[in-house]
Amino acid sequence: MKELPDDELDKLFKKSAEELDSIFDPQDWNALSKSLDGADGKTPAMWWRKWWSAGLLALLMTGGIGTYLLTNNAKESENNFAAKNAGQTSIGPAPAIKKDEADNNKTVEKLAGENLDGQNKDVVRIKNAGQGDETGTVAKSDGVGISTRENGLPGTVVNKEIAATKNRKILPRRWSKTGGVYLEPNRSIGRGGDGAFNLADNVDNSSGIQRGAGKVREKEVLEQSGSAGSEVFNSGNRMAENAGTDNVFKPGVADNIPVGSHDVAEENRLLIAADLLEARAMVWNKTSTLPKVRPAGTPVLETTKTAEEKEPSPKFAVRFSYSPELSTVGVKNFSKPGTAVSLLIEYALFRKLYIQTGVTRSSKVYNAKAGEYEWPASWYDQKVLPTSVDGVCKIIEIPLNLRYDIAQTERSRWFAGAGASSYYMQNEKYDYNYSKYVHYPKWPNYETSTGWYWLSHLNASVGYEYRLSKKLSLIAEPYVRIPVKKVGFGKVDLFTFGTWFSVRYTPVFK
Amino acid sequence: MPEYNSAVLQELLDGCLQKNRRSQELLYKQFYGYAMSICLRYTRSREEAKEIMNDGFLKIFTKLDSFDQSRSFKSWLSRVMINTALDHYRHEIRHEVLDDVEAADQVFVDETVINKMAHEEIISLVQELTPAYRLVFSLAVIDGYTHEEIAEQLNISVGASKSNLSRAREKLRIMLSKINIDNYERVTR
Repeated sequence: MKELPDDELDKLFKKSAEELDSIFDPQDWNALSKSLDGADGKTPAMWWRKWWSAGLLALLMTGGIGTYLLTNNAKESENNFAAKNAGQTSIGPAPAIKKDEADNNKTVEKLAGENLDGQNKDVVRIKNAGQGDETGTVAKSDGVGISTRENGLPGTVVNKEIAATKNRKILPRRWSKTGGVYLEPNRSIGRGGDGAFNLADNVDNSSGIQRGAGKVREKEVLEQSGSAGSEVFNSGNRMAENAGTDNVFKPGVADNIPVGSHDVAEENRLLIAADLLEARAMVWNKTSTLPKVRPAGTPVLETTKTAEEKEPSPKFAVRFSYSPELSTVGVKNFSKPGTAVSLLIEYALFRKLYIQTGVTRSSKVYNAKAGEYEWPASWYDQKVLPTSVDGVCKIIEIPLNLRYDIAQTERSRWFAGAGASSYYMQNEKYDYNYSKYVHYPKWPNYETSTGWYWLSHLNASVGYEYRLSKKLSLIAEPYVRIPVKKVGFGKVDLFTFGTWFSVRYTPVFK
Repeated sequence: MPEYNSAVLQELLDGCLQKNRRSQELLYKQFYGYAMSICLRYTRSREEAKEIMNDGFLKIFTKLDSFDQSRSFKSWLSRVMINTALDHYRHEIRHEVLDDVEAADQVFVDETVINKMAHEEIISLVQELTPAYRLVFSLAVIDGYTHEEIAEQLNISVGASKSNLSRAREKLRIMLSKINIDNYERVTR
């Protein structure tokens, strides 16, 4: 028995370590084989891990283009519709008549369900026009139309038209603008109409008053049809006069209708309906222009302002970016390009100034010469030092940038950005190159992770953004990262140049 | 023709570069014992060693294109396995509390008993060390790292590295002497 000295103890363990030979276990290979399948992208999870970023980018691009096309189509339809209206009529554009027909259809269908005879149907139709909530709105429209459009044509026309409309397809109310039909020609622009009268201010919402208003309106129409006749409607200006005066019904007068004259009133309503429909036909052919009809003081500018104010101003935006990039030590030894992906959040400090942060993951590939790479002191016990090193570093970067919009058009803008980035060296792999043959070099390669380098780089960029829609835009942004600190195991000045290709999404918070 | 790698190995490496599963399996089998012996002395159990070894081989197969074939593959494999074991240590066992070495004035070891011990038994003694001692001992004694390199790898001071090595040796001596005592008691019983 003796005390075992250090060198003998070391020799004992070294020898055992060298001579130990484990027996192959096929289970171990099976486990590795599964991992290799995953790494090669043969399993769904690994395939997803490998391709999710490309998939997301493709999805965003497709979505953006789709949104852009849809938005454009909708705008074109609206423009075409507006162009048609401008070229056709003054008060009620051609589709307004279609709308009225549709309303008639609806009313008639409703009445048919109540088993009413033909005459009563007409009567009730008028009643309906002056009553219920939604039909009340139409009645207002009719009210104006009646006071300005009637020309005293025989009421029999109505029956013919009603009969004809019975067989037509009914448009649901929610299809108010389908096929160019414009339901509310008498609404002010502020309320989404086309700028004619807004009677809502004059009418109490209670159904009783509305009903009264309906009656008064009918009464007035009767009076007008008797006195003014078609003369009134032969002039668009006259119509404008009516619009501008108090000739329109007043709710307060509703009580003046004699209660006992019900049958006569029904008859009169029928005549009114005839006048009304004929008046529409006349309006169809009119060529006077809408601006003349618009009542004075209609708050056009006010409305525009309100619309602008209501439009939410986007404060936040999210960017997903991909970039091919070149990294170099000393701005000349460019190696293979690396890649970077980033997810950034932008917040508008001012209208043109954004603050931007997020996370970027990049793979930087570079080559450093012996003088540019700081060899660890312990390496000098190796007789021959490497002449250069090839580095592949996986880096997580936290940028903090300001972005300023230099120039802006409706669809695009130019901007410049600047800021600083902190690097986290997640994984560093170095291959050391030797000019001479070295037998079993101690440092053929090295893998490590040296952690955080706070505010190690300055960022500068310029970019061009093209808006696909209100929420989506595409960005191309060349950038440079300039080192202010040495990073990595070899403490190198790592420059990076690249171009971000981004999809920018601007969410709207209500 | 590379200096270190045989023609057969070269062929296997070419197959592995093309992600040929058969070539990968053959390469794995060929270096299984060597890789496992490295991993065993850096881990507490065979299961852990197997996990690290497979992680190391995965790195080798997926990053084989970065291997310079003019250099020794065995040396590269050894480095990859050690680095994988160190990564594992950094992530998993870093905060493990160190055991104190038992006070022992003089520890005597019977050489004849040691000579009869299998290599597995000797390496199992290394596995019984606490992670900090085990890593320093394996790096310094078996893999030939200097204290500066160890300090850098494990993010400790050079003094701590030397101290850990000294304590690891002391602990191993104690374990060897215990084996002697056990054997003596077995014989005399």
